[in-house]
Amino acid sequence: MSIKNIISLGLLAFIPISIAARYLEWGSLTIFITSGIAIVPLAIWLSTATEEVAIVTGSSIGALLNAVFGNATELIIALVALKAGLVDIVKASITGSIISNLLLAMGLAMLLGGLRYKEQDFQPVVARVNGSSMTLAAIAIILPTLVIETSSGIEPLAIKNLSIAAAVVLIVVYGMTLLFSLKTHSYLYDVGLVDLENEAQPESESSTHKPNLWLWVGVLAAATLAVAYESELFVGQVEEATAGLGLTPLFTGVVLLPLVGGAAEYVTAVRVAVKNNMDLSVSIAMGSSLLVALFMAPVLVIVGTAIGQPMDLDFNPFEAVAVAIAVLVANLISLDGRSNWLEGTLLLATYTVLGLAFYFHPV
Amino acid sequence: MSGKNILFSVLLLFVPVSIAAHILEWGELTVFITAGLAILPLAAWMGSATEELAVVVGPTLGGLLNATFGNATELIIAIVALNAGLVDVVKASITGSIIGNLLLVMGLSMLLGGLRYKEQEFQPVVARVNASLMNLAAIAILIPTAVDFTSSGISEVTIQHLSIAIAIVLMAVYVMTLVFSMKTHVYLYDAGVAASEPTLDDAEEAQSKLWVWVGVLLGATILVAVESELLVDALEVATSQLGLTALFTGVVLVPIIGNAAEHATAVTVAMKNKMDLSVSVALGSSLQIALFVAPVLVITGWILGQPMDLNFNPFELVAVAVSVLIANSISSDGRSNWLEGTLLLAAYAVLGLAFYFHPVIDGIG
Repeated sequence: MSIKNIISLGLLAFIPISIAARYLEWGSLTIFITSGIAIVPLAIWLSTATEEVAIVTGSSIGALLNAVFGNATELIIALVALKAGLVDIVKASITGSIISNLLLAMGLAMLLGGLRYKEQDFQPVVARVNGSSMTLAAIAIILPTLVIETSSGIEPLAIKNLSIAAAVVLIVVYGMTLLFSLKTHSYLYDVGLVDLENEAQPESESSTHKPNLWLWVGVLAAATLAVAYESELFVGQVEEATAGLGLTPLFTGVVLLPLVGGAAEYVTAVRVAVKNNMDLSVSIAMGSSLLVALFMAPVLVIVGTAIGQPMDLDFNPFEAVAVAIAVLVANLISLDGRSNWLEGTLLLATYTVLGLAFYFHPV
Repeated sequence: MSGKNILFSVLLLFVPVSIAAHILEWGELTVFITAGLAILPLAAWMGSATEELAVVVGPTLGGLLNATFGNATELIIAIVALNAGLVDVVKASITGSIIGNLLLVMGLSMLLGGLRYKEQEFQPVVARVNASLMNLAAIAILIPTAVDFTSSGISEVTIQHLSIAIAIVLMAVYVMTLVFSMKTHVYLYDAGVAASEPTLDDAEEAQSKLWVWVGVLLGATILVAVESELLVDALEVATSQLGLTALFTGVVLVPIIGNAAEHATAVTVAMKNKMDLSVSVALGSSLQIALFVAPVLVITGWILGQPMDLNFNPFELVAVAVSVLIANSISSDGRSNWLEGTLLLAAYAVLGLAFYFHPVIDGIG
């Protein structure tokens, strides 16, 4: 816990540094790196504030809040990038977030948890439900790409309409998933939530939080604004900086952006895994990638249409392959409800192999 | 057991015959066939020698020995072929060995074991761990092909770099697997090991034979290398006389020759109802190919100056994916019967036919 605090407070120093870098013109690479680092603690504050507010407002609204703000950092970065017209990077960051949540976050959690405990158990039922939802999401997301690949040519307008229709279906499914997990079948998810509360209590009793509602709302708002500002800096330099490093937009979107936006979740997933709370760890990793696929991707498609950016679900075919692989591997490994360090290693190795492929992929 | 021994002793006769065929120039086809037959008993001897030595030197070192020499025959054939510049055949033999072990070896074991016992059981935990590993291996091996396929063109050098990087990841995973199975999670694998021990000689007796077995291992290794040389030299001419493509030779013929010893072991133990050991021989062998032999070949090819990469024929990609999928779904429940064996063999037959009829495209196969 203290390490997390050190990270979340210490790295805040990068906010003024990144702003200074911008106004004193220290070069695009410096701005890019410092603003990227500055986003990490802000994301942690954002998710802490969301959790605190969720505890105060009660389980239903709180869960909704979690569901919407859970991936707020990624969503903000993506929206800012979309506004700046970096459609390719935004698209790549969707697949990248799915892949890195499933492989990197879950792999790190299983590896580090497994180094301390010989075998760790988690509820296979929830993993299975998440697995099915994830499979659907992956299919829906890569479907437009498949249509293009298997046809001899398709109008951009048709792809756009198909993407919007798929986005609407995904959002509806997301609503259903919330209904299922919060209302009709909430007992399936109880274990995870109970653990979440136990997790929260020792740190500071939840009852004493209630008066702090407005404080945390303030933190939430401030962190959101700060993330938006830093994202602006980050995204403004992304093209120049990555070109200077010799990276393609594909690699930037698939590997770098999710690392910056998702760092907070990875830290949480690993931390609870090391405490042998594998249920929560797996549900953070899988839940986060579900949120990206079922909520963030459709929102981006619809917002892109609204602000006139040509955002659709036409990915690079290799991204489709990578998402399919990530979902397949993650499902197979999480299906049995047990994990050990070798399984974590396998997930990380898969991530490494895919990352290498994206690095060498000529666009 | 004795039937197998007699057969393999008789087959040893082909060692001098093949050398004679080579020197007296009896034709490439004769050399190819006799050298191929001569490799079978040598591979069996290498396998026995490795196992005997493994018993003597203890489980950890023995496990390492098995892990390194387990697929030595395939590795030697492949390195000799690589040195001769038959890169396409070598690449095809990697996928072929994976397919052959998963479908042919496991299929034959389940079928022949299932004819004698109504249902056979094996530890699903180990099968599941192996299945996860197999998935990773298949994905890693096929990624370069996928990159090539989904991009508008990728340079040879890039594919080579990607392949080497992936080879290093695979080697690291292989080492992790050894640590997992021999150190941190030994208990998961206990059943299989216990089943293999009673078939071996008394350890003390074996101790005195240590040097005999080291000699056998060395002798067999050298002879395998010689016979591989003969086989590879005659390979191109002989297979074109038979009307076979390099793709079919690499995917079907070479793995059958290289894996014959494992075939025999897996089937023999399956018929003794030791399905645990049988499945772990088959799965373990294909894992070893993917996680150890393939990376070693990529790195060796790089050193030898042969452009060995992991860019396969797209149909090989399909075949490996199909085999891994079928083998996983059949082995994940921890039970087998003769029908499951038949299904695996049918899948192998269908893929083999496809490779036989697959037209060779611009130098790929």
